[in-house]
Amino acid sequence: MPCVACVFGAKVERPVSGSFDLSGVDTVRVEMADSPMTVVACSAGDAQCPRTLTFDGVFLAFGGTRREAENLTERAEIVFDVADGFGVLSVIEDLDFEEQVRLELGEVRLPDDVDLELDTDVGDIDVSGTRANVRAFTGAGDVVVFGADEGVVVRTDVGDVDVHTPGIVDLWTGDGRLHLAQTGGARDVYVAVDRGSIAVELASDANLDLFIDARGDFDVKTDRINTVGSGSIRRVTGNGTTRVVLENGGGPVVVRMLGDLP
Amino acid sequence: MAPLHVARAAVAPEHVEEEVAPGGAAAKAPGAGRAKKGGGRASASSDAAAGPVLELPPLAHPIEIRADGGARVAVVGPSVRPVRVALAPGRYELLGPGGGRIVWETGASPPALPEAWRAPPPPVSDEPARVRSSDRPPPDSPGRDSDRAEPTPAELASIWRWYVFPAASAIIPGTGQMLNGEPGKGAAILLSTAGLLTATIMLWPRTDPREGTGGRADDTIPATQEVARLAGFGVASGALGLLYAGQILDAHQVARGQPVRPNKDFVLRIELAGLYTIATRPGQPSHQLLRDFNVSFMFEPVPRFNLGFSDIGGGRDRQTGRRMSQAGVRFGYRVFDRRRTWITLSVGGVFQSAGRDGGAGARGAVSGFVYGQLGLRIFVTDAISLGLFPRLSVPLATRFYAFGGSLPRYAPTLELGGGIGVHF
Repeated sequence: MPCVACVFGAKVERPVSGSFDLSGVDTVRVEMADSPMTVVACSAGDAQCPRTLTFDGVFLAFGGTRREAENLTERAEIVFDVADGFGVLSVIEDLDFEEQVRLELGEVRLPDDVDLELDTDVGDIDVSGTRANVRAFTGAGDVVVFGADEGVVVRTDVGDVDVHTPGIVDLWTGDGRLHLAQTGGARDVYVAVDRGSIAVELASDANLDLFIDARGDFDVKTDRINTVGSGSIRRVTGNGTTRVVLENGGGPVVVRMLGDLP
Repeated sequence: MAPLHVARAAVAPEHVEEEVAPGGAAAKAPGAGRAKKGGGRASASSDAAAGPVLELPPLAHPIEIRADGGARVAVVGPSVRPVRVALAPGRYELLGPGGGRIVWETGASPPALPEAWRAPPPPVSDEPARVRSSDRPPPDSPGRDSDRAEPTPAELASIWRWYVFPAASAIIPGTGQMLNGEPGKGAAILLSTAGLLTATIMLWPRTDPREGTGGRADDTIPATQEVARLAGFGVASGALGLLYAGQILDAHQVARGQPVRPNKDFVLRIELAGLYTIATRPGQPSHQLLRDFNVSFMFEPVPRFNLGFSDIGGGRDRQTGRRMSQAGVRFGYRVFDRRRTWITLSVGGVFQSAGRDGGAGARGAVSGFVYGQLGLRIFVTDAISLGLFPRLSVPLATRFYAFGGSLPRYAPTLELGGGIGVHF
């Protein structure tokens, strides 16, 4: 379209990388406005796994001229604030340029015993290798977690969720497909989807307290439970000490033993 | 609007002579240039019978008489009796309903008026003719307000139409024009409004929530499609607003049966405007529509030169909580004004301040931008115009938009604006 209402300027990208010391830090929070996040954990105590948080990424900027855009990427500052063992990785942007600059994180690397909180407005979250607790929040984006032995909490308004963990889970998506695979022993599960599908692979159905509330159909085939239907059901096996709650506001629920899901 | 002026017959009942000019408002010779305020002079009395006289039959509508230079001399009719107007020697234009135009020169035989201009033969009645002038009559002239007759039922019906027809257009666009006897125009307005409304709804900016979740390369909506949608929405919604407002005012003006006569001697113009531009963003989505709504107060202390306080506005971005306010000054010169159309060239500057309560980094900022603007204005009534304003601006610091978005420093920006102005 001929430009009768447009802005002239320049877009630039500037790679960025850095590292921060994690001595005395047991929880790291990564807070970005709009950025995907990929976190890879290495084995703590391993000689090749230093006690640091390292990252890389790209600053994106739009300015009136190329020089102006480059200056904007240099004005933004990546900081890591630590207080009482809680460290926050974020970007400091002044009001006058916060909408012209964006940091797109590449990969964040840290030891696997550091708890993680990942928070972004728009962006996929991908976590692997950690043995600690993971909390992932995104306004829009898919969330994939492998590991997180100490437990997983996921919240996404729009996006798919795929979690493979031996830990306790609390998972929710507003619109998307949710898959959970219990890779350790039997642990409590809380899963909710407003619109989409739920597929759960249980490590064990012994001593299970299973509650399903689905607007759509449910299909449960485990070692001790075999049922299909729609609406709500509750099944208890053994002493029912392991609680599994699956709620789907608009879609099917499928439950199988680990490895039985096609 | 000039006050209604009723003259009594001074001679035989079948002829009416009217005093239509104020004392002392001497007209220049026809063709000698712009007449003084109040138009030219047309006077008649039995004593001035030696001058040329324009004789017209009973009139169904007001007829405007203009001198050769374009200055308005008088407005006569509607009347149930023949009208006689004494004029200075020269050439005149008679402007009637529907844009009709007749040229008449003193000394020629009375002009042949179209049937649509003529009133049917009057019933037996003593109703005096009515003449309207652009100026108040002198105190000693016949037909002062104190002698004015009560409005006739026909006049009351006419006044009723001035407000009911535009109200009908406000409810269903185009119906006012249909009621005014312009069915084609009304149908075109109705269809155009429906089309623009449909386009506005269909092109309403919508983003894919999943776009950009994987990074800047995660482009689920191509940039060209984004830009086309945003541009289409801006044009359709702006045109819809101007068309809707314009057709309401047009229904009123046509119901009055008067040609539009923009008042070039206005003192103050109050203007509501909206300007759009499409800007690039870092990341996804790659473009955004930036909108600026503001009000301006423009004065014209010297003919054609205008200056005033412009671009006054502000608001709060719901997403970020950022507040913004702005105000500026503008200087302009009217390079063209013919009939309903004015063109003005302007330059201006705007000062902004912005702030937010939370977040890291500096929370406040001041800013400003300068611009040059072309104003194309079409008058739909004597005092109200619709405008189209292409503008080139350059921010001197980050430019904030009240309802979200900003522009970087030194980024030249083409904006397209539209608005409505009321002239006082």
